[in-house]
Amino acid sequence: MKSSGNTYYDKMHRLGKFVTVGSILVFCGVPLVVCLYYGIMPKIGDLLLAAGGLCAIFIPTGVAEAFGEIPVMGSSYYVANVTGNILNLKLPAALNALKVANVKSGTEAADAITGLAVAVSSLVTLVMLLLGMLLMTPLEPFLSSPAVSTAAGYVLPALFGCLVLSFLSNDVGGGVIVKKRLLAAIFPFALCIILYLIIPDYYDLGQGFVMVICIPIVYVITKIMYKKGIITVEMPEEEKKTEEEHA
Amino acid sequence: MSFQDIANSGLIWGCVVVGIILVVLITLYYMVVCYRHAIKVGVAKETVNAVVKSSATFSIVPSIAIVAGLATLAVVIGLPYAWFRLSVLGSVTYELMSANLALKALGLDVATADAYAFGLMAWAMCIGITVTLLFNIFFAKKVHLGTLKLGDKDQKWGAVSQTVFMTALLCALIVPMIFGGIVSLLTFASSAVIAILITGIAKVAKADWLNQFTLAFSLIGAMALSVVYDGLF
Repeated sequence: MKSSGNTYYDKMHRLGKFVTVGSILVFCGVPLVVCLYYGIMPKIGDLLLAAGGLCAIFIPTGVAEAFGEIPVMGSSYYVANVTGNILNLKLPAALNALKVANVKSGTEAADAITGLAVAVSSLVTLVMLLLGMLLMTPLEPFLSSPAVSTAAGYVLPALFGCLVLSFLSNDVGGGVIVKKRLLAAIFPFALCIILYLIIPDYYDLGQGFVMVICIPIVYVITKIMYKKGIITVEMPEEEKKTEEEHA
Repeated sequence: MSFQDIANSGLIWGCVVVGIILVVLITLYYMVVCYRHAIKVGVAKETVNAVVKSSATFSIVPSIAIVAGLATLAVVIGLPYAWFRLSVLGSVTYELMSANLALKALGLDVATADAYAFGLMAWAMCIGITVTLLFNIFFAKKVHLGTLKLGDKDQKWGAVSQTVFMTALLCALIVPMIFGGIVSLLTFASSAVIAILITGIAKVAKADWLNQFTLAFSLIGAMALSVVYDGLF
């Protein structure tokens, strides 16, 4: 595959920032217009009282999650944030797309494929919400039925059971085979289990922080195992040749 | 004017429709840019189309769960603003929490909420998530490009290092799904088993197209089974 250098990433991050600024304007524009028109702009004191606790929880968690999700989602993270529902929709969409396209993570192709999947997934949700809004009255009994409520509560295990399978494979995409890389996950996985069993409520609330803790642990263990030759890598034929030429 | 008058006013409908149209246009543009670039860097058009199909089909079912949240949220904040909030940035949990906190700050509830409470609630919902968007503007590029540089000197290590983030992410994410109760565990396992079955069928029947829908079928099957498990345990 050809590479057009770093300019693609510059362009996509510029686009992402533009998308984010635009969405912030839309996002704040609606309450601003409504509050100014009806003369119901809230007092700062009331706002701090109402949003202070929420910000104290969601801002650090959101930032921590970003550190875990950006390396996987790449430049599509901006658009994923604009339409929300990252863990239960956009991240699985990205992982699924990488599997379907069989591209190597960290490449321009992977970034574009991830962005495409996130955008398509966002549009489907927007259409579904439009339909749901238009058909709210006839759909209400179905949407509020116990079966739908129960099933909706298990979206994440239903998604990740399938996604984790593809992750267990030695083929990490683009024909690259990495053997025994999962050995590096044993310790952090055990650590997560212990944390979850000890403090389940805090674990759910601070999952972003757990990701941030896991990244350096997995990184260091993987690096040591790679250096010691425990984790081995087989590159596809065309890249082997390029590597030999460079050598 | 009452809370409900404002929550269902023509002005709010107008603002929400304009806002959502802008988000749709932004997303469509982004989709076209990514589609073209994927083909430009050598991904086969059939593969790119398969990604579109697979992403679209699998997204339907989780979206139904979001629509179910719309029904809940609409009761509290009115249909137009609930539609807007769930279309851009929002999640049902966050929106419900912020709506309730805003009403509590004024000593009100859904039944007694007034027009001022609507303004407060609308802004309370905005602030927390907007700050995380600002983080993306200043730091997302640094984080992303920083991780891409990991394999600059050693191509093989570059390939391994890119898997590190996904490994860490999945370690943190799947633990509550496996240890969060028997129904969650069985749903997780069912999804994996259905995926194995579909992959096997696709292989035996030489129906490669079926692989595009593995996630969608696993999701639907496992969610349906979660209702059965919930009844059993």
